[in-house]
Amino acid sequence: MGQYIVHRTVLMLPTLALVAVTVFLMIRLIPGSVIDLMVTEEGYANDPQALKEMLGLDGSLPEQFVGWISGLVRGDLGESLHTGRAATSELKQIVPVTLELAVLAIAFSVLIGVPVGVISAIRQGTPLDLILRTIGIGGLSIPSFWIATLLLVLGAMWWNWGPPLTYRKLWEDPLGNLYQFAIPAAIIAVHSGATLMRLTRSMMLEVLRQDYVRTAYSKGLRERTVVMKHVARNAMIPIITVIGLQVANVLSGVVIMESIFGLPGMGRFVLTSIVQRDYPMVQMITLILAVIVLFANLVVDISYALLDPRTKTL
Amino acid sequence: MNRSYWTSRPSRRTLLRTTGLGLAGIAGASLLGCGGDDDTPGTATATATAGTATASATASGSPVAGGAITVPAYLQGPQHWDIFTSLNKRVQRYGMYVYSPLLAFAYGEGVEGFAVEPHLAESVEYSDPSTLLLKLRQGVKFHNIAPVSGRELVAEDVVYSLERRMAPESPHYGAMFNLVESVRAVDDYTVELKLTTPFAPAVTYLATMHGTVAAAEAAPDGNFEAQETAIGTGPWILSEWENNVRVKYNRNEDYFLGPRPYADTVEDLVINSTATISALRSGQILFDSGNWEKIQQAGENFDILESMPNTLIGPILTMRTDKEPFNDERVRQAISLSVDRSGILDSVYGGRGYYRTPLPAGFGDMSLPVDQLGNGAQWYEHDVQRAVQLMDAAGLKDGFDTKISSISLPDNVSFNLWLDVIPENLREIGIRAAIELDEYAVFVGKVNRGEMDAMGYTTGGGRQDPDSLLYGVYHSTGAEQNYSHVSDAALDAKLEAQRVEVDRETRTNLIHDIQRDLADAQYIVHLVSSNSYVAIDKKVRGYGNDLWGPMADSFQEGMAMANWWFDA
Repeated sequence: MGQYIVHRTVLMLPTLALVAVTVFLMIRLIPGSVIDLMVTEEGYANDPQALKEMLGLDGSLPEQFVGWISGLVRGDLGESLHTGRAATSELKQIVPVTLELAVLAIAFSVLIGVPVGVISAIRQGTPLDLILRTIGIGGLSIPSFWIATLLLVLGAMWWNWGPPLTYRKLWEDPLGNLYQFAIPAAIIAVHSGATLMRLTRSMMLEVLRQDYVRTAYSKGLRERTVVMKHVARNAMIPIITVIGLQVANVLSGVVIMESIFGLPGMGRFVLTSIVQRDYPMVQMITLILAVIVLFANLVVDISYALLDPRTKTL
Repeated sequence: MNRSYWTSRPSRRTLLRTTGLGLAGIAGASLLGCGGDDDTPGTATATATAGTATASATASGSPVAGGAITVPAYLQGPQHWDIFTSLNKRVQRYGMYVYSPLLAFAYGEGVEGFAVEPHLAESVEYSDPSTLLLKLRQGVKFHNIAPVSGRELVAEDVVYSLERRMAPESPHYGAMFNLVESVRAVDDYTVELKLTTPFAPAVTYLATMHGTVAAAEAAPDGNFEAQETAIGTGPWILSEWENNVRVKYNRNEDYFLGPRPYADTVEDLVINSTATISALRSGQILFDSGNWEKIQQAGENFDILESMPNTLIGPILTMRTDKEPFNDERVRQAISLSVDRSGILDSVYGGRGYYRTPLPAGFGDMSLPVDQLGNGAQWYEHDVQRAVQLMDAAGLKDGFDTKISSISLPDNVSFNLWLDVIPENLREIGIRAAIELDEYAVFVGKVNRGEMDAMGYTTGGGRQDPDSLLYGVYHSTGAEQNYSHVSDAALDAKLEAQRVEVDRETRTNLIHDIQRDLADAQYIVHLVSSNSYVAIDKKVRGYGNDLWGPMADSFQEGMAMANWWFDA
């Protein structure tokens, strides 16, 4: 197992390298210069050339890339072009927010999507199955930003209610924090939960039709035992894989929810940084998001190996 | 097989019971939600009176100390607190809660535009046209925070602040600070500001962020971190700052304009613009501003005011007057005639708006309304037939194809509306204009620097003195943003003349003359702006109707909030 983990970890490095090059080039290839913005719009300097030198943007692209990578190797994640603040100081604030929202969203989607998928499979063909499948289609179809906006507007107009719109730290106000995060997390979970629900149902149905399941029933085992002990475990393997893939989807949903609900996480921060062409911040956050996605998939691979010993030989 | 939990089907009775309960629940929730006709958009019960202040302070007697003011933050809040290393409006705006300017703009009932009044300086006079003498108010104290520790503000602090402003390594407003020959403390309470040439706008700019004063201890080699700490003489003391989340200030008990401020705290909360109505109605903020469609949803707990016109920013149509066909005055006048300003004002804004002119309303007697623009007034009418005649006279009977560079602003319905209207209007006179939308950073570089190919549609902006909207936009070499590549020697001479004329009456006449010339030349086609509105909690007193008009343009809302108090 240890060798397996090392092997998978090493395989992450080429992916990260590709992400680093891609994000470095893409943010600089977007039309519109950060120098223009900082001089024309924001009055940061009188002389564009002097500003360029001050910000370290006067070198060639390869020079800038090497400088960035060598800084990363030393643990220097860079500084914001606009504020001069170290990237690490920004990370301390924004990473916990995004992680908390993403974890809650995944937890909700699993806690709701999987059981509902199981019930729908067990009750195949019944009105309940039809209702649950319809809700699942709805969850896949309805955009999360629409749900969020509707919630804010209708909540305000009908009940003079609004969710807390300024961030409450978990360690300062745990209940307030959970109340604040539960709503956007639930909205994100609608789409990912619907995906899991449909996949769970599909996998459960496939496994339920297997001969050994019929044998288990014939032996007189209780329905609950057959499903929980024999069917679900085999059906879960691909579902866990999809949960890992859902991490990327959830993170993209997090960007939107952070903006709408005023949560100061990585998603909202990277949006602002892109608009402001704050290259070091965009690079840093994109890399971190890539690491999170890769790490999540590593965890999935490891759990896959635990569930199905045959995969350890890969 | 035994029937079990997993495979049993609900009985018909169970199904009907469950469905009935569910439907009853939905109906109940709907009844609860649908309460109050003032909750429905388009049926606002509050009334707004154009151009006059709603009585705010008189009804309930004297101001009372206490209470917490919560308002939506401007953009994402401040990036840092060092007011000398960036002219960024986020830094400066929040800085002015803490740092006081030498002069200030008057606000409250009866205010007309940017009227300058004493503040840290109790008087300012010209010893000669190029030299300003500022007499400081005595007994003004800095916030009681180390290392400044509540000492008195003296002339040396003003000298320090102005020198920091004009240091070569600091970004600064060159139009003013490049003219400074010297600044010195004559005595502890008198500062002499000597310019190389007379510069009439200097007094106005000392009432803006350019005139804010910090303690000399804030020097870069000093003993506090200016990016994280703000120590000024303003009504509010920085208490808490969470980047991109909120800023909180406490009352300055030793404010030199005591007994203000009255509220205990002010908190600026970073809230997404789509969520401010939600925040308003749920009581998380007690003030918001915007267009009528948004603000009328505030609900019965709020007074709605029609604020003074948002002066500095408004939609304009620019064009490359250094290229054909826009170098022909007749073409520009035809374009202006084709724009249906009155139609938009009536049908879209419901009459809640105003025509923009070269110097829009808000500059008091310096601004000329359309009917006083002389020969240029005729170009503000909507007259397609006449426009076609002008195009014909210019040899463009068949019209021409062109492009309009612009941007789509997600939260600005009024701005985006013109993106549909302008091409339609132009088509009526034969101009086939294709809209090219760019992303923000590209737009800033292209349109705001006049680098579009043909035409541009943007929100023109400026500073709090007419000079910025006239010289700053139309001078051939000295303009900060010569959107339309204007090069007019006669106009240049007039723009230069108003700039150095320190006698207000004479300067006002010069500015009037310039406006008439600009209205006739139509280098920039000014469109129509909708009025701005504010919703403010009915418990709040002490404000005037200049909220979110010139007050917002001046960044002095922090100072204005020192007047706010809560009626129990």
